[in-house]
Amino acid sequence: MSFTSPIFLVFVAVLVLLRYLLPKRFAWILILIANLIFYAFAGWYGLIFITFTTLSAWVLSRAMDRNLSTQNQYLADHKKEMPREERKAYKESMKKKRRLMLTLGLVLNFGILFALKYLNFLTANLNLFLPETAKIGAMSLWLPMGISFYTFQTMGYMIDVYRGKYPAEKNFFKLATFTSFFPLLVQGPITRFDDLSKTLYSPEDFSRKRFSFGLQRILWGYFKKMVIADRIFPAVAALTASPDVYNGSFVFFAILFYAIQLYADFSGGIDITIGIAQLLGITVKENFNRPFFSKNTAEYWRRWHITLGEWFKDYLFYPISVSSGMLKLSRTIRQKTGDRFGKKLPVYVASFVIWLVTGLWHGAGWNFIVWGLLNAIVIIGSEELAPLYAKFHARFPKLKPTTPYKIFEMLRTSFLMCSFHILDCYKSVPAYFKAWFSMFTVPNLSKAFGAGGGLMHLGLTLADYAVVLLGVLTMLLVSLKQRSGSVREAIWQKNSALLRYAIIGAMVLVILIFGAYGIGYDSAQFIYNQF
Amino acid sequence: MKKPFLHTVSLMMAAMLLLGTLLLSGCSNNSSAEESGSTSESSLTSGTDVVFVDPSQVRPDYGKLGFESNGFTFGIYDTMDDIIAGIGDPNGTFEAASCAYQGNDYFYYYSGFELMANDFDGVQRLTHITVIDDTVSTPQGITIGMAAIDFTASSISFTDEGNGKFTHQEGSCIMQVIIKNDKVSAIEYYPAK
Amino acid sequence: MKISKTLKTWLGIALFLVILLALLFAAQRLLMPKYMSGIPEGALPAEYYRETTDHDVIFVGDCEVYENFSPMTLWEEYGITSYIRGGPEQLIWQSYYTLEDTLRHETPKVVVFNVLSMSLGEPQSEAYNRMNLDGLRLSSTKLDAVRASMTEDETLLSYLFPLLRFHSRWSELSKDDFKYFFKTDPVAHNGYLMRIDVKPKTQLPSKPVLDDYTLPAIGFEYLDKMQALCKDNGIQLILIKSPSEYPYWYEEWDAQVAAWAEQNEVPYLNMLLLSDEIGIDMQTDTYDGGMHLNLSGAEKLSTWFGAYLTENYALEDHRSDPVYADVYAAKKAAYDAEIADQQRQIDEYGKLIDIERANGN
Repeated sequence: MSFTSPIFLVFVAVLVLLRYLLPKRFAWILILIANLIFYAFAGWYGLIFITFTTLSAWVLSRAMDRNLSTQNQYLADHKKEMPREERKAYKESMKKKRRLMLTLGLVLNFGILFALKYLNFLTANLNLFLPETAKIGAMSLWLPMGISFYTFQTMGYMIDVYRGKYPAEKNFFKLATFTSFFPLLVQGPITRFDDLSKTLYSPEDFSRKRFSFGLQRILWGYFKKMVIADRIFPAVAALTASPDVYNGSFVFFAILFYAIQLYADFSGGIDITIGIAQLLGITVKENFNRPFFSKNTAEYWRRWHITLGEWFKDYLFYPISVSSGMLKLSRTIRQKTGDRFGKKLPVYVASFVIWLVTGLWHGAGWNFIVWGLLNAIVIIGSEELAPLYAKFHARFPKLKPTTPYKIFEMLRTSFLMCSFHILDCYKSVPAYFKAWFSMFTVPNLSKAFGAGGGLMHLGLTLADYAVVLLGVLTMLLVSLKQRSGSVREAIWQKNSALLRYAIIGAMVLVILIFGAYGIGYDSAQFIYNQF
Repeated sequence: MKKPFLHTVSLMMAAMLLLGTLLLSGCSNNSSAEESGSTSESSLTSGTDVVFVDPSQVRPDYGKLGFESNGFTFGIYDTMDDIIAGIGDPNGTFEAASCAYQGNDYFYYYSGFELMANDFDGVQRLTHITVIDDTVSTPQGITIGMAAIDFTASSISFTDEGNGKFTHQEGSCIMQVIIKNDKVSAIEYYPAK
Repeated sequence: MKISKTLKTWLGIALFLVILLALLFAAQRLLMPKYMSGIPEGALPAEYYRETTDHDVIFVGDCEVYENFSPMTLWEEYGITSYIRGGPEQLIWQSYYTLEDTLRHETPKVVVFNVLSMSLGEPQSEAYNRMNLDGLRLSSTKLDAVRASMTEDETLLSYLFPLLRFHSRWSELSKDDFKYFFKTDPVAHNGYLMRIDVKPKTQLPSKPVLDDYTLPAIGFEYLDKMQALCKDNGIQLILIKSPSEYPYWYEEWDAQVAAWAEQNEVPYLNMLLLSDEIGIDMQTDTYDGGMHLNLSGAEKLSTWFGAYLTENYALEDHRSDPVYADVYAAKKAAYDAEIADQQRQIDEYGKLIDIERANGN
C-alpha cells in the first residue's frame, strides 16, 4: 500500500477508529493485525521472511535471557563455594554461549538481507574477473518490503538483549508487533525496542491535543511529499538521465532539485509515519532535525536520517572501535607514528567501515559505496583539518559568531552533502564525477534559462516551479519557527479550534488541488520503499 | 465504560479484514510482488523508470530505416521542413483534424508514397510513411507487389508478427511490411510506442 | 456541562466536514473544464439533460452522428423529435451505456447507431473517455461505462470525484472557468454540432492495408446487448454507416456488420453507398475535406433519412402538438441565430474564428 493511495487512507482511518473503540489492552493486537494486513498487501510471500526474522530473534533472545538468569542463579546459589577465577571462568563460558546465540541470529538475518539484496551485485562484479564459461548468472531475487529497516531494527533488539540493556520480550506476538510495525516498514525511523515499547504496548489514551497534532503532522507530510517532492521529481529524472546533455549549470540545478525532492519526500514520509503513530497514541522517534541548518558534516549526520546514524554508532562504531583487534592495531600504529595518530586511527578505521556499510545499506551499487566513502573522506578530512580551521578562526575571531558566516557554513555544508546525495541518481560513478566537475568547466547558465532546451523542458511549467518555490519557502518558514519550539504547540496555545480547523482544512485543499498526482503526473513511490 | 459488544465486533472486523486481505493479496500476488520487489539494485529514486520526454526533445533515430526520394534520405521524426527541402514539394496535401481537437494529422502526397506528420511542440515531424505503389522501392529494394520469397531475402531481418505482418525496429522507428497472397501488399514506417 | 462539550465537539467536526466538502466541490466545479470554447464536444453528454420534451429517435455514436445529422431538419420537414447523444470517438460500449442512460429518462421509438466505432475494441484515449463520460449523470450505468472504458492509468475514483483528475488545471484556469462556474451555455442543437463553413474534398489519404480485417469481438457483444436492450423496451434499432469518407470503412468490415444485421434482423444502412441518392456533394457539403458534413450536408442527409424513417416506421408528426411546437420554435431561433453568427464570422474574417482560436491558432 502506497502512503499516497486512497486505500491506505481508508486503512489508517479504520485502524484509528478501531483503536479507540477497543479497550487499550487490545490495542497492540489490533496493531499486529494491521501490520499483517499492510504487509500482505505487498505480497504474502514476504511475510515468510519477516516471520523468520522475528521468530529467530524471539527464540535466541529468550535463550540469551534464560542463559543469563541461569548464570545469575547459579552464581547466587554457589556464591560461597566458587573461587574468583572459577566464577570468572564460568561467567566467561556462559557469555560465550550468549555471544554464540547472538552471532547465530545476526549471521542468519544479515545473511538473508545480504543474499537477497547484495548477491546479484556481488556476482555481477565477480563476473568481471571470471572467464566467459565460469560466469555466474543473476538470480531473480525479490526483496521483501522494508527488509533493511526491520532487519536492523530487530537485530538492534537482539544486541540490546545481549548487552543486558533490557530483558527479552517473552510474548512472540508482542515482539512481532514491534518488528513489523507498519508505519516504520516503508522508510523507518529505525527504532529501539525499549523506546518504542513504552507506548506500543500501552498507547496513550485519546487526547484531543495529540489527535490534532497527529493529524497536522500527517497532512504536513503529505504536503511535502505530494506538492513538493512529486512535483520536482520529473525534473530530477530528466536532468540525471542525460548528463551529457544536461551538464554545466544544469548539474547545479539537479543537485538543488534533488535536495528538495529527497528531503521533502523522505522527511514527509517520516512525518506521515510519526503522525499516524501519534494518532494511535504511540510515540516514534524523530528522524530529521532541520538538517540543512547544519554547520558542518558531522552535525549534518546528527540531523539527517538520525536513527540510521545512531544505529551504526551504537551497534557498529563502538563495537569496532573498542574491539580487541582494533585496540591491538591502534597500539601498533601508536608505537610507529606516535600518540596522536594512534589514538585517532581506531576512530578513522571505524568511520570508514561505518560509511562503507552505510553506503551499501542504501543500495547494492558502486554509486552507493562511493557515496559512503565520500562522506567518510569529508568527515575524516575535516577532523584532520580542524587545527587549520582553528588557526583561521583565531586570526579572525569576530567572523565565526556572525550570522552571515553561519549562513555561509550552512550553505557550504548543504551544498556539499547534496552534491553527494545526487550520486544516487546518475547511472554511473564516472558520469557523476564528470557531471559534477562540469559545473565549473562548462559555462551554460544562459542555456538553462533559454528557450531551446532549458529548465522549461524538463516536465515542469513555470507555474510548477512557482509552487515548488512556495513549498520550499513554507518549509523554511516552518523550520525557522521551529527553532523556538514546536509549531503545533504554538498553534495549540492559541486555543482556537477555528484556527486548527482552518489549518487542517487549508492543508487538505492545498494537497488535493496542488498535489502532483494523477494523470499527467508520474506518481513516485517513496524513495526509501525498497529498503 | 465497558462495551463488550463493540469490542467483539471491532476485533471480528479486524480479523475479517486480515483474512480478506490475505486471500486477496494471494490472488494478486504477482502484480504486488513486482511493485515492491525488484531484482535491480534499489535506487534512491526508485519510482517509475519513465523519464519525461518533452515533445520538443523528440529526435529522429531511424538508423538503417531511412526512406529515399530524389536522392535525399529521411525518416521518422525528421522535420517536415527538412524533408520538403530535400525531396521537393508534395503533389497535394490534406489536413485531418481528429475529433475534439486532439491534434491534426498532416498528409503530404508524393508520387508512389505518402507522408504523414504531426505537431511536436510547434514543429511538424514525420510520423508515417506509406508506400502506395510499385513505382518506388525502399533502400533495401523492397517494393509493392514483390514476391514474398524475394522479400524474405532482403538485407534486413524482419520479425513475423503473424497474419502476414512483418516488422523491423530500429531506434524508435518501425518498418512494417504486409504480405498477402504471397506478395508484398503494404510497406509502412511509423514510430514505436 | 460534559455532555454539551462533547456535543459541541461533534457538531464542530460535522460543521467542519460540511464546509470542507463544500469547498472541495466548489474547487472541483471551478477546475473541471467547461468545454464552452475550445472543445465543445465535452459539453455534449450533459446537454441532453436540459431537454424538456421526449424524443422519438435517439442517435448514438461518434462524430459521424453529431456532425452529420440535424434534428432541426427532421423536425421541420417531418415533425420527428430526435436527439443525438454522440461523443468524440465514442466507443461502442460508451454508446451502449449512453443509450442505457437515456432510457432512464425516456423511451424512444427508434435508436440509430453509427457502426464506425466497431473497429475499436479497446479503450483509446483518456481525453475522449472524459468527454464522453464526465457529463453523464451519476448512476450505476455511468459506473459500468467508466469501468468498461478506463485506460490503464485511470481510476474509478477519479470519475466519482473529478477533482482528482482535473486539479492540475489550477495553472490553466481561464476566464471561461469563472464565467461558467454556475451554469454553462448550450453548444449544440439537440446534440448536433453545427459547422457552416465549406472545405471541398480534394484528395483523401490512401487506404491503409491492414493485416487483419476481423472486427473485435467485443463490438458484436455490445451490438447484441444494444439489440436486447432495444427489444426489451420495444425500440427499433437501426445500424448506419454515416456517409463520411474518412477514416476508411473497409468492405471487409462492412460485410461483417451486414452479416450480423441480417442474422439479427436489424436494418443496416451503409450510407456511403447511397451518397448519390442522398445527394451529398463533397465539394459543398463538407467543412473538412470529406471527413464530416457541414450544415448543408447534414440537412441533406437528414432530409433523406427523415423520409426513410417516416416511410418505414410509424413515427408521429409532432408539429401540431402545441407543447412541442413552442419548444422547437425556441430551438429554431437558436439554430438560426448560430447560423447567422457563424455566417457573420465568415463574412468578417473569412473563417470561423471561434474554432480557429480553439485550435490554438
